[in-house]
Amino acid sequence: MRILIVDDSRAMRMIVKRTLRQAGYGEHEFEEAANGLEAQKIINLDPPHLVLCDWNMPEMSGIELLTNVRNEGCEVPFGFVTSESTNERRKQARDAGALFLIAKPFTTATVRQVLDPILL
Amino acid sequence: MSISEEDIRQIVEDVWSSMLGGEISPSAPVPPSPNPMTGHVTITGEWSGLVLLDCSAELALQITDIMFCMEGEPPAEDEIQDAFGELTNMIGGNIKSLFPEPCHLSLPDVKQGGDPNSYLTANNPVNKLAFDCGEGQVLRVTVMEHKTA
Repeated sequence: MRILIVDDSRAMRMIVKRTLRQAGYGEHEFEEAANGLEAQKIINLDPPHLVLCDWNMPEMSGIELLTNVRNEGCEVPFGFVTSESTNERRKQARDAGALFLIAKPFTTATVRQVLDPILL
Repeated sequence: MSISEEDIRQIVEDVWSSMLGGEISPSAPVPPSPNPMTGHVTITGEWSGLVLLDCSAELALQITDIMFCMEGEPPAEDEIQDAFGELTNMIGGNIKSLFPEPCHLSLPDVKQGGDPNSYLTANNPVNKLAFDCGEGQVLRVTVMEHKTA
């Protein structure tokens, strides 16, 4: 499966990939995008099986990306990985069509708990 | 308005241990390092202010080493900015959750050689914490509220 990791921080994209491997998802293919605009181009060209997306990014935020993707009729499984995990954010994410929101900082166990139902 | 120092302490310790490994502990107050790395995120909305992190250039380098798994290679300047910016974002974003909603979090702004005291012109410090990160290195975390006119 192809997993698209969207975050303006290259360090965080590396941490997400490391955690995915530690959680047992190392056999999947990982793609990266540095912001929502880059991610939208990748999704439009060939939708991945899962998008893991930061919220706050330059060019296009994660919530803008998800809204655009859903408005174009694409139902790609989408979840947020963000430092902002307030009830308001979680509701906003759900209403826009996200399957989950993983709060930063996260552990391997949390990632496994959230992604097992989707990837296994 | 003020928030609990214990909550801030827990956030910083959790972010550090989850993302960087190892433990940090509360430190006595210290002045800023010479030529420090500074990173801040601005919070606007129901509460307006900022969360400022500062530390020595050496600690910023160590943080970058861990995040990027450098394994002996010296990191590039943009990698140090990226890593410290992401640490600032994670700590700032979690501290933002302690304030009433709705609030907006800015992207992190990172500078090498910035002056932490320069923020005092427009902001009042509300919480000042310092963390012993080992080997004499200290991370300072300051929550500041925007001064009203």
